[in-house]
Amino acid sequence: MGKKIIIQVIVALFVILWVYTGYNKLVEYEEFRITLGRSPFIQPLAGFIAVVLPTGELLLALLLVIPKTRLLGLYLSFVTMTLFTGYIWLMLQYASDLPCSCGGVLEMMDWDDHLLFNAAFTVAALVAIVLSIMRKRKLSIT
Amino acid sequence: MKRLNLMAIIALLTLLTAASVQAGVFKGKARLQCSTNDYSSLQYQMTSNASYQLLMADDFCIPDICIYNYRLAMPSTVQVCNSGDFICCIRIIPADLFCPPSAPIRAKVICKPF
Repeated sequence: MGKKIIIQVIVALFVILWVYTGYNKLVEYEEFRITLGRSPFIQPLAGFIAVVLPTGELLLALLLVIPKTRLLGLYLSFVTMTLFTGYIWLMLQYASDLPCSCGGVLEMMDWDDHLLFNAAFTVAALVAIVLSIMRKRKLSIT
Repeated sequence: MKRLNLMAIIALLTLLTAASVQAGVFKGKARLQCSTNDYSSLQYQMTSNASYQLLMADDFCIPDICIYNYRLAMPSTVQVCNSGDFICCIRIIPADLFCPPSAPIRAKVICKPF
């Protein structure tokens, strides 16, 4: 029962995160695209990422909403958050100009906070994956 | 089914909240955006007492080399404006000419509550 609640809380947090940030990036598409264009690492792909990223975030939320695809959604959320965390770490290490293209209120965080926030979500995704697998095994045994 | 409903409700509530905030329902602030190429003649008046952040976006001469112009221009073009202030959409003449002469920086100004 405890594991189930932990998984549900983590999934709910990810649903909120993906819907909120995906929606904000799509609504503020132009601003998002320009901010990405200022980012030294992804500048050449800014136009492409500006469309794919928010769409992908909303699709991730959809995967998490549907019980049958929830574990897949958690795996992809973990991969995405790992990439985001790596990107922020790279930006902090090597970029002099740090444009934030995070979407919504997340833009209010400074980059160190953002790194912690993303790392926490990455760990949470991993915890939810491990607990889901343990729960599945237990259910299949019984 | 029960779980699907719970997560779907959470997703829907998040979407509604984000949309409400975006529409200014919770903030009670206006979003202003210049959407014309006539950057010199437009003026907008702030409609609430909140502070606004003026963001300058280079929407014409992007990205690569002109990013430097954009960055150089930022300190002089970013400002805070208050209720009653008029904001003009402006045209920025590049301080240094990384941009080819045929592609002057045209600045698009977005007044965004913060």
